[in-house]
Amino acid sequence: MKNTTYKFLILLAIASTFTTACEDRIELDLPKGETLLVAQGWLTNEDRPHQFRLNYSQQYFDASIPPAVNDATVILRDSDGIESVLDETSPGIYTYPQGGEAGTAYQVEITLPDGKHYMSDFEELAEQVEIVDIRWRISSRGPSTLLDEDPDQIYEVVIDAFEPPGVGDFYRWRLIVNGVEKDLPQNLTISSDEFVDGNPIVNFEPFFELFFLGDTVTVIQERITSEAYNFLLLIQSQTAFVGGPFDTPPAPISGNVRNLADEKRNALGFIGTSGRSTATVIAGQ
Amino acid sequence: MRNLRFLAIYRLKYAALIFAILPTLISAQTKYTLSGYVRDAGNGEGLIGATVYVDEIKGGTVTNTYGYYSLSLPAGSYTMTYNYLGYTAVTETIDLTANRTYTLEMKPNELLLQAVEITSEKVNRNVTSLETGINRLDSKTIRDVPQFMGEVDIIRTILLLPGVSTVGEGATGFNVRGGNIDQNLILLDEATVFNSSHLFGFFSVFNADAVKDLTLYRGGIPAQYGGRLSSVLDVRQKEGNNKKFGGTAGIGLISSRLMLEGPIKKDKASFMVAGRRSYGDIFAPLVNPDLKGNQLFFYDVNAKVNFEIDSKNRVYLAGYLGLDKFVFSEQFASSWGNNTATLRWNHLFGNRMFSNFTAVYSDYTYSLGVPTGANAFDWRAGIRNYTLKADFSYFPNVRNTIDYGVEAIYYRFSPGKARGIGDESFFNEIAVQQEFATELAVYISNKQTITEQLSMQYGLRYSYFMNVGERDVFLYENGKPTGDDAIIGTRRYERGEVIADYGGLEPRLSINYTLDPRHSIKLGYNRMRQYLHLVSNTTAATPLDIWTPAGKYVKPAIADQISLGYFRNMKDNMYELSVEVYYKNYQNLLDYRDNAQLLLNDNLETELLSGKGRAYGLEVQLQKVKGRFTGWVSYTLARTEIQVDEINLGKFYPTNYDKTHDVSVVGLFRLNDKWQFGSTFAYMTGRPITFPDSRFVFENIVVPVYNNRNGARTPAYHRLDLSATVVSQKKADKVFFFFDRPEKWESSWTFSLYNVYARRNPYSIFFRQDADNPQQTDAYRLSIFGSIIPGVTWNLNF
Repeated sequence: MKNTTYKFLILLAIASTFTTACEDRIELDLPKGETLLVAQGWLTNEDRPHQFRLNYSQQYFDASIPPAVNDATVILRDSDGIESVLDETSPGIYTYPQGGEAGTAYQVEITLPDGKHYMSDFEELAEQVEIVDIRWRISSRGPSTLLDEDPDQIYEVVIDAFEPPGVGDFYRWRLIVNGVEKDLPQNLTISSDEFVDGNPIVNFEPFFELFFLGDTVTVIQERITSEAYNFLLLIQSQTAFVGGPFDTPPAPISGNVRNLADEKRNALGFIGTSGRSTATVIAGQ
Repeated sequence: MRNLRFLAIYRLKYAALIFAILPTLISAQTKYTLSGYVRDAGNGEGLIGATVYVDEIKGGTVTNTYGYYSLSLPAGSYTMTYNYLGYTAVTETIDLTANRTYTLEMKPNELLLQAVEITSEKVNRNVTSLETGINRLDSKTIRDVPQFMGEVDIIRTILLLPGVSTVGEGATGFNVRGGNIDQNLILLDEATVFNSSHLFGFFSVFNADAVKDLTLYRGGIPAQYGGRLSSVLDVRQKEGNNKKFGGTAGIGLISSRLMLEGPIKKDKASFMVAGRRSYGDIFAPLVNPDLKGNQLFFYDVNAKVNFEIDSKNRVYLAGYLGLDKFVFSEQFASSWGNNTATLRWNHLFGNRMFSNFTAVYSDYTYSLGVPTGANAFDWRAGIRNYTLKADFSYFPNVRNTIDYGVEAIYYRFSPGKARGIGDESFFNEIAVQQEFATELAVYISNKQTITEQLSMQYGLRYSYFMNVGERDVFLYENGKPTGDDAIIGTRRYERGEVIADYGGLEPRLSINYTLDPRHSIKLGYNRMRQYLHLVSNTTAATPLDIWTPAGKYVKPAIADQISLGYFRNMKDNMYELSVEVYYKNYQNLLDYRDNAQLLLNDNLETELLSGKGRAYGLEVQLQKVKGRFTGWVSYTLARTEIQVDEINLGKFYPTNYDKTHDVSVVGLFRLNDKWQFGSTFAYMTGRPITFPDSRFVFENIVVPVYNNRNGARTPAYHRLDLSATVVSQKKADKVFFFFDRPEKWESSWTFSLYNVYARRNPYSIFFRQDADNPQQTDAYRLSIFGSIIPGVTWNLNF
């Protein structure tokens, strides 16, 4: 529901800028911030290699590829104390060859070549919640009169699931259309179970995306920790929901990777776990 | 805690006792009283703030908000001059040999507004009054200032006054001397208005046709007002013409309006009813068919009746009903609005004591939801209060006016209740507990003329606030609500049981030293206590923001303000100059944790922080009040800062609405009976904003890194507006093309241009990655208006 709130705020913004509001790209001098380590990656229940990425932050207008952190020592540790040293399989990418197990917590310890030492908080890998069914349906929304579209060929995709009883579950959905993940800020979709706890979730449309006939649509439902949810919520509010009159003041987003020697210089980013369930449908078939 | 509460109640009782015996102490004098009302001869409306000057004693009094005055003088013959700006002054010789009443009806003087040299009387109230930091506007001035899309708007007009600013174009509310928007006590016929805006902030809830008079207090706030830190905006609705039937109507681009007024019983009882509705939702689909099925409109209804039972008793009943509705096809619906009702009884105890008993109901509610489908839901929240008040003005002699009274407010806060609707919805019901509170206050103040030069008003208010059950309150480790994980239990409070209580004295002082009739120096001090906060951490407040009371974890805020002013009138009072400086100190201001979640949050206290603030500034206003050309220039130099331990490393930082320079120029020119022109120019320093100092890429999302809150500013804001009004007086003129105009009807057209040179004023600057090239990040400027906005309105008076 929290994301519904935000949707409302976006709509408010649309409404209030009904007539003549406009945005212009401008040139600006920005303060130059410090370069910090950025650490990220997810360990899921899927039996496949998992990648953890290390690189550095950049000046805001620097559009180059973020510099990779090479030759770090990266250790994945589980709550039973079992450690695995990860291989750097390509520059800045450290790979764990297998999946994680539900109910086990994981952390990553990073030592940079210059000796800086970081540790992520333990995150417990949650049991996945299955997508029971995935369907397409003809959309009643649109089509926009501005585009010459045939309304019969506009589809929405909905899923069914059973939300387990007990408040405190958090979800993220990923959308893959014809093999390409939609990964812009506005595609980031998360929710807590606060308002739907223990309910059958029927005809849930995680993305307000419309599809064409023959699109292969894959929805991945990830059950994440509350820490990951809060982190993603902030990412969302400071990247997807900006530019309206009702923006909240931006503020530092702290992740879960701590600098053990200097708490003011924690790493940016998040190393998390998720229990995944995947379902695919072809629109119109 | 129990002892403290007992003490507070004891103090209240003690104060009540003083009030009860006070009149008997002072009234033991042998003088006669001259009292009565000063009213408009055309419609019988009481004139607020008319001066009654007694030549023989070189002094006098001023009518109160009901047009009432009372003077106690030794027996004798007196030359009385009644004066009210824009009306012909009246001089009468009155023999006072017994208590007597004298009610005067004054005629508006059209000439006064047109010619340069007319008035013989010196209208130097600006200099001689006690008030500092006060602005009084009548509906005429408000009407003449160029308006946005032709909609006459009170709040937009007061933004042109010194010391008043806004966070941005189209933002809800206004900021006074470094105060947040929730620090303004906005009263409509004594009922609190919790959200003063329509359409998110583009228009105010006050229909200018229904408004008689408004007063904005920025400093030296009298003891009768309390509950907010920064200002009081006291708006009075018209009482209705008690002599003849009439009205006004208008058709504009945004809305149409109609106001009717007239006698129910001539000179005894009258009514006023006004309505307004916007119709953007009707026309928008014609421009863009995609908008069909969407609704975006507001309406409001004002109504008032009054009845003069006899010369000592008069009752009023006033009401306001407003609503904004917003429907975004079948996906979304929302509405919000204020409702108020005021029942008032004016009673005269003898000639020397004016009393006013008031009962008020006020309510602000919003709802939003998705009407159909799997994620259909409905969400409601609001705040409601009931107020009982008794105010007394006692006029013991010509040198003193004593005001005193009591007030009790009962609040019910409903922070939100959401539930799924329909068979398909998968939402549960979630309700944040209601909160209840009572606010009590007693006050007394005396306006005293000490010498011909020196006068002062000194007063004391005592307010007491109780947050009461029934309610469950979270208990936290060490009593500090640092987060969800600090919760160690809950405590149940029964209905009426006190959860937390606060109270304290609020001294008020205004001193005027009139050097000569042309210039004076004024000093003001006030302490204010505020027990409610608007919980909002968006740039502009939204209609969804909720009010929350002081309670176990949220302390009331306190502000002390001192102001010093120099007032000078020039050229036979044609020009009025005021220069004021102020310093304000805030305690227990509310701020929010970084990334706070404020909506539907059952443990809101974990997201709140408390800080201190300071605001200081210089305000200069030069006003030309007479002649064909009138208007003012105002300039404000100000700084507003807040300090919260948890933000920006505990350093003072500027608030969102801190504006260093704020200039307004208003010029009104009456060419002849037919044509009138208006212009305004506004310049403001850009508002504080937070810029990123670096970025990181998370998955494929480029995330800005923000460190220094409000460390940068948007570019400056400036805008010019123009308007022209033409009154068509030709007899053959048809009213809106339909039927012949009756003789006494007067119609006019107003044309306006807003943002004449089409400046794209920055509302905010934000940062975003490019959708096509995700590595690329850019800065964008958001302007609410990108171009010039014309307006046209047709008005009719009848």
